Amino acid sequence: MNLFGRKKDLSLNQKVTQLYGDLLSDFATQLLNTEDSSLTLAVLDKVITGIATTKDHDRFLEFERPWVFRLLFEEIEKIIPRRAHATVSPQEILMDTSLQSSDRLNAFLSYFKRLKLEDRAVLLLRDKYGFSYREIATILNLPEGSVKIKRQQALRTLEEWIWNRT
Amino acid sequence: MDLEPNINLSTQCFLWQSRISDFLDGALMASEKRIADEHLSHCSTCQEQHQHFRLLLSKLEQQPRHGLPIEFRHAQMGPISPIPRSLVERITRLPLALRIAVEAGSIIGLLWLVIISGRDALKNTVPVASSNSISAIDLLQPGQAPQQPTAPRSTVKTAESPTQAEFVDEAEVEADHSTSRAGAEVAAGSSEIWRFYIKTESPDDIRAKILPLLKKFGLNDAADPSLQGVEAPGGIQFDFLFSQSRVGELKLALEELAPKSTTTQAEHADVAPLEERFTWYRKKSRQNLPSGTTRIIIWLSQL
Repeated sequence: MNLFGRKKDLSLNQKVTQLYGDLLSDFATQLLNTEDSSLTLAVLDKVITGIATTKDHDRFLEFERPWVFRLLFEEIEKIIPRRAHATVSPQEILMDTSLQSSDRLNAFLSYFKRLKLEDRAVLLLRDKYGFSYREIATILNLPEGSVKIKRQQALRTLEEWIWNRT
Repeated sequence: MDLEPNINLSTQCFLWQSRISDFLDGALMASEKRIADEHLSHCSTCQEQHQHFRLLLSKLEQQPRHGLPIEFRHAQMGPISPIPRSLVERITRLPLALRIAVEAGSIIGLLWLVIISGRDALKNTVPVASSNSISAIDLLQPGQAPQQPTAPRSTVKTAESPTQAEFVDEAEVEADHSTSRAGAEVAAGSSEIWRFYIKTESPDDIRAKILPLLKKFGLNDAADPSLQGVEAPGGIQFDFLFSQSRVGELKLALEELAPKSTTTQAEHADVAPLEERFTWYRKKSRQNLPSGTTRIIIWLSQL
């Protein structure tokens, strides 16, 4: 604050950090699927710093939230291809065969991590963060109808893994 | 693709699953939802799938969120102060100009309170003589001869008495008291209160002697209880206005009425007999008394 109590205007990256910092952090952590938090922070830092230097302020003001998440998704996509299948470890295969479906449901996260980057992004944005289909379409650069279909396909895949349904 | 009731089950399953996302979001129209609910009631496969999907979404929502680390947030935002809890913290976070005004106002207010209370305290520290100190140990001044009431000489600690209310009228300054031996006549000043204390084995007897004495001085109003002696807890009190010029006479007369000690110690001027109590003192009255009058209070108490 200045002498007369007026709040100083936040910079763009400060505004993004304040508004979406926690969501961005969780989104990046869930998508990167890594124990290495430094990688997550490096990606976040790159995105937020990039926002600070962007000249596209008008675009930010118009799209704001989906635009920020799109920048983050694009940065993560450079590390993990969006449609690549995750590697399944032997322990996970053993879990698939030895456990009951109820136990596999309790190990939900390990199955979630196996989904493709794009599928995970759709479920996170829609069912965990409550983004609209339009925003998700903007973030993933997909048609809105495709987003719904991808969500259904992701849920069916998880159902197949956990409840052995085909 | 709309859900229609008049198609076979497999087609219904296909249609339902194509709209499952909208169904999970509750975004179907009422008619479509009715059809979908009806289908689910007949199709165990779709119903089971629906339940599984609900469980999966529930599990996803329950996953903990990984918030932004504090250090990273600080690096972007700058240090974030915790939400002030106490009043002091809130004041310190005020803008500088406002904070200066608040602190200056507090200091001025505090100084004003100190000045006001100090002024009152100064008044209270001025010695006050008690008109109700019956034991009046302080009044006993062995060997002290009665002095002319030209200036205050000493103070007496205030004690409680039945006539406490009288203090309201008395200025809490300048008391003059003494024990009387040989009955020196003294002159009363204007607007003064004179108190005489007589301790006796029989206050009623002394009262009976005071009544004709007052008549002799011209105070013979039988209807005025203060001239007849009002019985109060611990003794009898007379309270009346008296001629200022004749206070000395009254004093001498009351001294004569006071019971004398039977011991030889009473003969000595330097020792006050214990069984004889005649003490008096004077105070300035806060209330303006009629010109030329002095308020007299005589207190008779049991020895």
